[in-house]
Amino acid sequence: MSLWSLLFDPENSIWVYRINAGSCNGCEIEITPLFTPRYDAERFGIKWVGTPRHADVVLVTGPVTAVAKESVMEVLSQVPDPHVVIAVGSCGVSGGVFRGSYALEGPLDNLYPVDLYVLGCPPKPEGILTALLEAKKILKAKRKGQYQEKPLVVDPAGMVMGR
Amino acid sequence: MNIYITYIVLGLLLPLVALLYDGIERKMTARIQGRVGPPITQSWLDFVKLLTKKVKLPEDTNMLMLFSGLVLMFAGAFIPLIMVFMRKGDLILLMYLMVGGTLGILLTGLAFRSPYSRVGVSREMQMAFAYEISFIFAIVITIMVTGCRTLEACSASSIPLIKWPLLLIPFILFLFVAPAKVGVVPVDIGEAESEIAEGPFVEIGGRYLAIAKLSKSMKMLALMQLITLLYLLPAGVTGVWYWIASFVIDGVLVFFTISVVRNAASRIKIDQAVKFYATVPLAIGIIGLVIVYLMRGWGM
Amino acid sequence: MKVGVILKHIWENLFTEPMTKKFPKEPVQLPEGFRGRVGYIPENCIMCNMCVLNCPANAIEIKPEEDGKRWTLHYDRCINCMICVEVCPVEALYNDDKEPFRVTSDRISAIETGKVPMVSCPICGKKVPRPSNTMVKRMMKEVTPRNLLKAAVCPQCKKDHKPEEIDAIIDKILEEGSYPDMDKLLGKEGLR
Ligand code: SF4
Ligand code: SF4
Ligand code: SF4
Repeated sequence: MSLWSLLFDPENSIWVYRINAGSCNGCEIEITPLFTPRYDAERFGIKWVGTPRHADVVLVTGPVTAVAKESVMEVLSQVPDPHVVIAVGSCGVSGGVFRGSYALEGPLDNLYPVDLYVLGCPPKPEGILTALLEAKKILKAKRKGQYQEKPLVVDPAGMVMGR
Repeated sequence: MNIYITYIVLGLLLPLVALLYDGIERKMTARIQGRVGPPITQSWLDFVKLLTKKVKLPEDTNMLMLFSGLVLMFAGAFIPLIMVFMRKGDLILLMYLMVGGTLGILLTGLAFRSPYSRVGVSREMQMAFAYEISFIFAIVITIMVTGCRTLEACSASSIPLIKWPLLLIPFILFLFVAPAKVGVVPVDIGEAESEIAEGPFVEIGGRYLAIAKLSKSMKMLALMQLITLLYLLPAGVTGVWYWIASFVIDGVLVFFTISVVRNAASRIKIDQAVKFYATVPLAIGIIGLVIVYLMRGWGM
Repeated sequence: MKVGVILKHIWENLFTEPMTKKFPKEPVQLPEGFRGRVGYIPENCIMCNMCVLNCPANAIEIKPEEDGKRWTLHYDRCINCMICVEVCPVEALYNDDKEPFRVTSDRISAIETGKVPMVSCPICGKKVPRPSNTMVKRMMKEVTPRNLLKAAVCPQCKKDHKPEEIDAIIDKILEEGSYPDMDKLLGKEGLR
């Protein structure tokens, strides 16, 4: 790391907030080790915060269930710009094994633009760490106003089965 | 003229130093826990990051309360910081200013309707009632023992703690109060990060949060420097040696009163904390006051 | 005393190497039997649909195309359970633990895909699916162009011709090099 980035790069400080949108807790169990001595995300300036107003990155786990949808959208709307939304785990990415269930309001990207996906069920902590490091670049682009949110082109049948 | 330039330079540099000390504290905490830890500029980076973020506040925020709270919080940390490093000013005034900083936190929290911030404020208030009295006792006993009411008058030829052994009582009181006043883990009940999401600061973000975080770091450095100045630093040292000695002693104090305490203990409940602060430090304070009052007759 | 123990730990931790994994600099250490990505070998696939039926996440789909069938695995749905690897009768799927995780900004193109093309029967020219390498190996011990051609003979021709006749025709084809779908049969094109 250069001296400049050690002193003035706002991307070196990332505060992470986590939303459980109906996950089975497997992904939470893999996110938590990030902040333990073993994986220690704090060496990259990644810190876990307890409120969406302090967050730069939001990790969303779980398929968005019908019950959770309202709260998830409310919380996501409270995150100040610039922010990055990361869907963690197969459930968060596409619905995973729960895809097509009547209790789901679709995966998160049906409802809110998602910047990064971490695949796996559950993903390894290293995968989530990689996504957070990747989020630095997206945050940088968003600060400069360069980032274009690509709308997700999905064929509806491939997205949520049975709709 | 010269003195103004000094003040301006100090006013710009000392907040940075305070953030640096916060970073050092985080690094030491990380090392104690066996991890690598963030770079020591991390708190400064957080500050820069928070300044670049947009602010989103709830619609029914009481802006007047928020601003006065932030100003009070900042003043309650910034002015004491300058005072203790310049060794100028009144100890009683310093005491009031530092209590005012706590008041600022309460006002900030009360500007929002969030239940988290209300819970945080109520806890912070209970904590303040519990520990500020010990803090006041510590300063009063110090004034009574040394007989000097201003910071510059407290000059001793040797280390104050050795010259006046009775100062051990307020020194111990300060060690008890420091974690609570800075707000670190065993007694950070008002701002419990993992429990009520930083309590009074739960709704603020962006530059407001930057001010709050900066105030917290400055409060920590000011408190450490106050302890250093009153008990550990021979007032005879001046110039470069004064700065070097104070920064080194501050670092050691931060390590022992913040990092070690923080990692050796887990958070206690509010009633436990209030019970503790209302018994042990208060008893030490009252007994100390009586002892000092009686000993004055013998010329201590 | 308890405080003493804690202080001793603090002292020890301060002066020992941190236990943090140096992750981005050093590769991930994977445990034995780690379930990573599912890899697909279209050369072996017989399009039996077993994986599609057994996948709990419905991550695999098989779609007919103009010449052959396309097998697609959507990684965004896959939960790495490796049930498909277990049920595949011809070892067309394997557990590829070289890629322990995947981070992407485009989940729709996070797929593994392959195709089993149609080849023509060497005798009558009727279109049949390309024979699987695994099946050829199981039946004839070795995967050679000759054996592949033999396996590509359509059921009707197998009924109509004696084995010696089939051998003679295939010998002739190999001499002349007149078989039209040789590249597809050898797995050189049309499989991805
Ligand atoms: S992706 Fe897997 S581990 Fe994560 S919430 Fe879904 S089912 Fe659980
Ligand atoms: S690993 Fe499991 S979820 Fe993934 S494709 Fe195979 S059977 Fe389906
Ligand atoms: S991959 Fe295996 S199980 Fe799936 S269709 Fe092909 S041969 Fe059958």
